Amino acid sequence: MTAIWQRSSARLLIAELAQFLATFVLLIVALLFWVDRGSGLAAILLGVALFAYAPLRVGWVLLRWSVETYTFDQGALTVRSGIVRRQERHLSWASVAAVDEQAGLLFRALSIRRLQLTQTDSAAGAVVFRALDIRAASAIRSHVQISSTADFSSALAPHSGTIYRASWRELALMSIVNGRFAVLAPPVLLSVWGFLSDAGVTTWAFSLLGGLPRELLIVLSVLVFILIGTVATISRYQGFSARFSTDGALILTYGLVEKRERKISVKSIEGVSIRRSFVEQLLRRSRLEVLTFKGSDSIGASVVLPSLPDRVVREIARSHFGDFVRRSPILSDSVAPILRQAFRALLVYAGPGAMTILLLNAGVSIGFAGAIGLIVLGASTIVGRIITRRIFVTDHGIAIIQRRLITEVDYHVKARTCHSVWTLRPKRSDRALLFSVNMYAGGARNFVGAHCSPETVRRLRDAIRLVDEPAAQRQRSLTTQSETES
Amino acid sequence: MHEERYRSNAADGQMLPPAALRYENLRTIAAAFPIAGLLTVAALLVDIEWVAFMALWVLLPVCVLSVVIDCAIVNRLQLRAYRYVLRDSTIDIRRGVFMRSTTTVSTIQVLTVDVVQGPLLRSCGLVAVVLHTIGGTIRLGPLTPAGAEVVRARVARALEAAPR
Repeated sequence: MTAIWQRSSARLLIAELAQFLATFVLLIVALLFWVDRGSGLAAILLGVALFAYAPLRVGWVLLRWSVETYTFDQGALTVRSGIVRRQERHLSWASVAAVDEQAGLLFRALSIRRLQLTQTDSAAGAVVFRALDIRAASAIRSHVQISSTADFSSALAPHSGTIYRASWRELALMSIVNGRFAVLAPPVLLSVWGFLSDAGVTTWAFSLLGGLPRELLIVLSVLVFILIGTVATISRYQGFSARFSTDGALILTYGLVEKRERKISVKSIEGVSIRRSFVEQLLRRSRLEVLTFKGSDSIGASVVLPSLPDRVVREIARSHFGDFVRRSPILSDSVAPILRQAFRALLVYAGPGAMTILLLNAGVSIGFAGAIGLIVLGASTIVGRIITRRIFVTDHGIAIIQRRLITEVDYHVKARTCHSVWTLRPKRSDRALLFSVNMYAGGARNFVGAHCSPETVRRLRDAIRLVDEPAAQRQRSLTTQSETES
Repeated sequence: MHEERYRSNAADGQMLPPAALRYENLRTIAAAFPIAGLLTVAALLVDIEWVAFMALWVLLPVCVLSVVIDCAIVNRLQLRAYRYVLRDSTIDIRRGVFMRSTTTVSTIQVLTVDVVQGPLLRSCGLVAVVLHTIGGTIRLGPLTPAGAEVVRARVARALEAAPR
């Protein structure tokens, strides 16, 4: 097939000029109104609008249309655009995951369509045909070959059967973990109370509560907050179960009032992450997040299991995602490292705090001192994250430990999710001082860290070389499969 | 010297074309212009003696000197250290003189290849190649249009070879 060359429909010019005129006429009317009232500035602006802006804008519309061309054949598409900065974008039809067609009222009246070719669910490299007539739009769509439904056998399911079922005791502990914000209840309540008092609110409830001692009110507010949190947790997670079905899907069932079921194709699972807040670290609990190939699942984003005992989370991770989850325990087991982490966090917060106080004492304005404190805090947390981040590469997976101030996240992803690697090392050393890994698991992720052994860098590069299926193509096959199933 | 190496296709990877040096020098000068302009304006408009002195007699000479050093030495060294290798499954880009930066991109995960040419690049007869992956973009070059076409063709070939 010979290459087909074309540009946007000429009717786009009518649409763009009509849209421009609609706003331009309004501007002119407004300026005329002020000129009529004797405004000199409005007269100058009117002249600029009529003799400079309008010709430039019309010229821009015409030029842009004339330089933007599309060339395509059976294999690929090339888009040329740009007047000053020329750009040529090449993409293979195989990398197109979806075609979106749009037409507003004006476009429909002119029988033209706006077509957007997207690759995976990211905006990276999306190509937009700004205006095509209906026949051309249909021709473009026909080039996007939708591959046959992915071969999806039940063999992909790691183990069929129940992974976890929440007990009432678990629900109670989850409520404690989720209810840690109860400590915020008294200050919030007292602030609202003060505001209402200042506003002069007087109702019977206000008078009744006002008669109670303040300490009792604080205790009551915490209890009410905990009660609401517990009810919310129970209503959300009562009957929570996670299981693998025989047809190769991870099924999550939960909910008391409204029973919900989420089904995730095993093939779309790209990794897992194990997260622990500070309270969870002390209670030896963690949350397992299933990182999916976003966009391919009907549920969209990644799925987070409720807060579970560490032992259960590790067991789930190893038994069901063992092909890419690192074996050795990574998360801190004893209390000592947790307390050390808390101490480090205190130091990080104390530094900028002390600096802000010193600046205030030196007579610096509160806004400036606060801004400096926040900048130092932001910089120290970013540097802290980079320094404490660690990466490990196994035969089939990549593990990244990420420690924030008082939380820790442990990512385990399949090696194929890695798209690019960057390292920075001194000229005469093999050891990387900084590394950056781009990957796609539950969304696009970029990890920047320090300290990376030459062996790890080599393994990362090997992992990239072994990838044999484009992400976009896999997403398309998964989308097709989910459409067929539905 | 650089031209000879470029033509001989160095064993450790492809070098950038000799015209890239002219482009880098032009870019350095173009980037310095607004800074020099701002410093001059500050010196002329600000009515504080030490600010005017700093702008005109310290910062402006530093700016000019850094442009001269960049054009005479740094850009040349950086160009000499730049290598890229097109493999079947990856594109490797190495740069940096004292600190070596190495980028490896999976060819099969490249979504689109942009060939970009601004006015400066056009004046040197070069183009820049931007590789888009889901995770981000990686810039390669500046290259000759023929060199960019080789990169584009390599990515297209990798995608065609991918299992359907």
